[in-house]
Amino acid sequence: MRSVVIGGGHLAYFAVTALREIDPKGRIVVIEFTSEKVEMIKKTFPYAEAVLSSIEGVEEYISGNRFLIDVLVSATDSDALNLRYAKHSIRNNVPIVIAILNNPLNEPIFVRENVKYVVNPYKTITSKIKEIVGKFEVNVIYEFSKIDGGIYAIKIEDAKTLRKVRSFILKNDAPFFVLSADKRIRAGSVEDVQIGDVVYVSSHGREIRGLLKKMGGLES
Amino acid sequence: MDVSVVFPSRNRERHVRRAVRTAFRARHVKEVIVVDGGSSDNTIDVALKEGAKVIVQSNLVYPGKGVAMRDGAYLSSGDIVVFVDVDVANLTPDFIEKLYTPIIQGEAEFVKGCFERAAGRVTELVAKPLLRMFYPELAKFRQPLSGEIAGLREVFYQVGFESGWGVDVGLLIDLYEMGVKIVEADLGFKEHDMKPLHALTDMAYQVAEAILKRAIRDGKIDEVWAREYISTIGKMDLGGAGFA
Repeated sequence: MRSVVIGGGHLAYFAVTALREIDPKGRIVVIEFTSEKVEMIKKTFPYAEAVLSSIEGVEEYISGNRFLIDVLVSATDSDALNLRYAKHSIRNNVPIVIAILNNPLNEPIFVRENVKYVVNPYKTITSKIKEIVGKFEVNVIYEFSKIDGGIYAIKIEDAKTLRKVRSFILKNDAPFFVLSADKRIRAGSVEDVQIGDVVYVSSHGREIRGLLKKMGGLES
Repeated sequence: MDVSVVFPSRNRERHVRRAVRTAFRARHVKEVIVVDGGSSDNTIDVALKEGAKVIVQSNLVYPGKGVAMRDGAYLSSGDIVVFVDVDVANLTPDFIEKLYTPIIQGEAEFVKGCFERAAGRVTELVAKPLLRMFYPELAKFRQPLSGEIAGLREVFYQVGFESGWGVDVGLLIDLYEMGVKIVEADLGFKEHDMKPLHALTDMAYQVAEAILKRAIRDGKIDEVWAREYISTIGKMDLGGAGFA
């Protein structure tokens, strides 16, 4: 696999490490803008090729190598650059284009610009805190990258919620398991779900949004 | 030559519609970019509806004017990039055109806007004295902290952007040191909200820091001496109960 990672900061560090794990024999090119960082990249990732480039030189590199790149990860410290490089790579038919966000608030903007794979490293902060503190009705635990859907936690606070969640699971044949108030994990019949449980259900986004609408909103 | 207009903005729903529409009416303008600082109002939606490109600044620490300007420059595609405050009450296409006309005419690569009103307090009390000490050639600029600037896009890609309020004076010094052709353009009258005095402390600090950092970098201050001098100030006996 031939991968290009743009950026030399900590976002890029995790991207390069992951790509190396996926394909230890693959070729990884890391593009950076300052010679100091290029030297650091050479030391940190001796198996990768470090390239010094200007801001606009990156686009020329992508265009010139578009038939050779399998995966491009844009992981600079500027979301403006990440958006620009992601869009340029998509226009150049790079098969897999991934943008890593510095600011989670930019996720809808990247999605609107048709960047399919957007990594929001901060996404779990909200869901983790809500899950730990337990103050939520519906919580996004994990969102799938390749389809609209994920794993959602729903707290069964009352009989009405219980009824709606049971009906949702049965209607959609949705896989689920339950974390009970005494911290035990159960999988089984939907009839066993009780008030006080947290139901972890996997679903397509469109369906879960329908449920959430009925329940009066999403806390994510 | 195509022009990109960038508006750094935060919670400026009230101003953004008019600003974007006005910018699109200026000649040569091909795109308008709003760089949002994490607004809690409808700034983003309004800007999108008006046809602007929108990005939220990469680092949400506020004030992050420099981060916003950097992201705006990076997202732009025009030959010339113009930065204008979104809340200029009397913004007109002519106001914006005056900023980039010297570049189109080949008289400059970077233009600093200035106004008829007196310069601000941080400009007069912090920026100008420090510039006179370390960069006397730049002390002639009437408003070295003006946020209304224009430059060739390629020029902005060759410098670093300070993250906060030091960005404007930092760009001025760095571009001057690079030998970029700089002129000051009189934009006429600017109707703009004045910041309260207490809000200027951070701004003054960041402006001073940006200038002093460059003075050290350019060998105008000996860093070791500066550190020793500053440490002696910390040990000074100020008498009484100290500062009020």
